[in-house]
Amino acid sequence: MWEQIRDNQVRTVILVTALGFMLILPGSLLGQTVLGDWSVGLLLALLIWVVMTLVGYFQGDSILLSISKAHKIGPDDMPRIYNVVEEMKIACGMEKMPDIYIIDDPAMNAFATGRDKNRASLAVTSGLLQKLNRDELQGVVGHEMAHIKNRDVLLMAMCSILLGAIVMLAWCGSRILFFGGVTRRSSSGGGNGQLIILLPAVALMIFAPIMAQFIYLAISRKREYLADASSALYTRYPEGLASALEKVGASTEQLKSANNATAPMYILNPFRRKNQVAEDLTSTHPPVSERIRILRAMAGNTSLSGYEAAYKNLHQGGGSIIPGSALLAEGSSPHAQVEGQASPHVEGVDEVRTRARETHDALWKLSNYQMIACQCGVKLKIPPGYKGAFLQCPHCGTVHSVVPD
Amino acid sequence: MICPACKIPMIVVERNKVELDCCTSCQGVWFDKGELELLLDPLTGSIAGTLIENIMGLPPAETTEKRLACPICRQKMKKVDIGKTSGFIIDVCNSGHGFWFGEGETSKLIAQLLNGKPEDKDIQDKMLFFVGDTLRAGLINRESINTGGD
Repeated sequence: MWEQIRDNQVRTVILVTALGFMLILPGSLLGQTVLGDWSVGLLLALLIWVVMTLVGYFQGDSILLSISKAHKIGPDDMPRIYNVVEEMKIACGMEKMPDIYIIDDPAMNAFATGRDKNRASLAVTSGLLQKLNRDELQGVVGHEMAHIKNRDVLLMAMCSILLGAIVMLAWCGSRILFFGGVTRRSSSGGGNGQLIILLPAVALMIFAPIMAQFIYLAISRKREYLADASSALYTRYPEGLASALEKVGASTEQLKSANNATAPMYILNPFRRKNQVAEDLTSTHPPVSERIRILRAMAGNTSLSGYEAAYKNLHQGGGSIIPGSALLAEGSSPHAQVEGQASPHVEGVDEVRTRARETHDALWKLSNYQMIACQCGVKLKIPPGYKGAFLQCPHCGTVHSVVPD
Repeated sequence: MICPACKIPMIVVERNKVELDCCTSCQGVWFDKGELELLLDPLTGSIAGTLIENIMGLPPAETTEKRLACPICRQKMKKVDIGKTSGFIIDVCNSGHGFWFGEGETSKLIAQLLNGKPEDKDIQDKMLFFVGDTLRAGLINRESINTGGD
């Protein structure tokens, strides 16, 4: 995987430099237009760029987790996800367990973030935990662990932070230009020259966020394939991820806490048109239908080369998607061939309900709800702010005492 | 979840692995879309989706009751009459996040049940029966009573 890691480091540097230019150019032009001195604008842009880069590197993961409204959980809060992450940690040979976060949202999605494999976090939505079975959850966690192991996480975190900041600055810049710039124009006395500078400045400010988005697109698509391939390798069961992607892709639920800058982090693009399933076109991710097709075409060979072969099979004449060194390093793994795929487990109604309750109960506990199990089978979950010392079970009428906060 | 009418946190009542959010102050009940799916068809959720869409598509009821905001998206909900014979008005979120049963409606459901006429013919009845049956003893905030039941 060294090639991939090295590649990610180079890309991170390129990204930071490219975004630096994207800041400096409009910054200087804005300085020239508004203050009549380009050096002030340049200095300011440089300063913002340095601060953003440092913040992105050191605090990127915490910022992303907090804007996604993710809550950290321990091993006892939700054993199911913890066990799956632990299994995948062992499968991919990582030393340190990543921190696990839950996003309380019925939409299904997941992402990984962090600086390197010693400081990494994995976030999943409650909707994902509720609706995926163990095989599917393993597939998704395997995919995210691959992002951590391939060091995609730092690049993705930097991208999100820098892109977010540029969009914000462009928004501020355009306001300063249109509302603040007009009043000062007479004092600097530029006349026509003013207009010549103003036009490219406006153009840059409009295009900078779009360009930044393109960089983001280019870097995020290919690594999704590699993460899918690695997930199949770790779980030895590509159908798990395929079926998970199918469920996530078919859901019409919108993730509330996602925005343009954080969208490419997720396992599947969180944006949908209202009541529509995930779109194939214009997405930050490869088409989900294609990802599912490749996984399903692997036919028992769960190695990276198996994924590569399945991809080539579906894209006659298309290029390769798994880095050569990764394939070489893999060699002919003795475990990669799986003899006959297990038939997908058909789950019952009760299983789905039980999983829903496990997931929600963990969230209630995280929010400090008090749980009372009534003898009639009803469970009462009482919020921390409940006024009153007693509560009657609405089903059977038994009165329970409530422990005050 | 915050009660759309009283703006205080609601208690959660779980029965048969399906949750209802209940307000002990105004006796209102919020039936969330996800929970409705768990009740009607946990495997696909399509029956619940159809029921919600059908109810969302009903014309707004003529009533002087105050319109309430959906506890999920905070957008004003629509009042619709889903009663087959007499008026039975519930609030439905325009984005399909769930249903709100006001105090009058929950007591109607409970009364209907205690009169021994539980209707369980279609999916809508199934939902109403579940709400009524879960709350058959009523939502009473007992502030000063001894424990131990009656």
